[in-house]
Amino acid sequence: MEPVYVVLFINLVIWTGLFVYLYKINNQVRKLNGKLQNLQKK
Amino acid sequence: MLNRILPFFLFIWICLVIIGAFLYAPLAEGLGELTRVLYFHVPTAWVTVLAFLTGAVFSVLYLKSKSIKYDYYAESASQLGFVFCILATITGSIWAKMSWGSFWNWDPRETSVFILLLIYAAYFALRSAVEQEDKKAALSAVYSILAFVTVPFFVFIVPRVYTSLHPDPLVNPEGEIHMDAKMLTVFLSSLAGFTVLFIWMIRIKMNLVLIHLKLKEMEN
Repeated sequence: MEPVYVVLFINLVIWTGLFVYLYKINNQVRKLNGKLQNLQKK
Repeated sequence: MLNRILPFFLFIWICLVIIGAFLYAPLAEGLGELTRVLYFHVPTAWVTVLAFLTGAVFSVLYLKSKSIKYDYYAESASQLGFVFCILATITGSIWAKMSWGSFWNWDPRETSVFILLLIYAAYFALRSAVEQEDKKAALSAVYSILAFVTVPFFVFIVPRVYTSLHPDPLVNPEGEIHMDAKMLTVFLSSLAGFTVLFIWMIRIKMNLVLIHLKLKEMEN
């Protein structure tokens, strides 16, 4: 395999990893925010 | 709904930018494979300036309103700016190694970025040194505004005043961009993608700040 494809693949893997990490945090923050709002209402 | 779909658009967008940088955009004359660094180095440097500007704006808002959330927002923006500044420095060093033969040459551009990193490292040191919240927020806000004043000086002025090994800025003194159309497409797409990525990251951090403040309020 040509080096350019290897580097391209590594870049895509890094970006996918970063995206999954951010997406998970985003969902957790959203859920936590919802829970807190419910607690405040009670 | 849009909040749930937008991250996926961003994911596909940046995937396309990465693929475009490697397979679509032609290599620049004289730079060869190094050209590809351009699509990641310049956007990270751009986001650095944008993040520090955002930090300074939140600091001004804090000083105007004395609302503590703006202090936390400013800290979040500066943290992101610092991370992107390190990324710009790393990608720049890779460029330097391939182009000039050494990772670090104390070139005016490298020196100015190093000083900028020190200035913002001092901002975080200042924040951790003061315990009283109001005092910390006020001092940090003033420091953040002063720190941002140096950003245009170190990023745009110093490298242009002194002779540098760094390639010429993309926008030349006549205000024109001399770049192949395909390269320009990938480059501008990358700038847009990184800007949206920054906005998404700062929004996550801002939501975290709000949760932190709500928890504090509930504790009291």
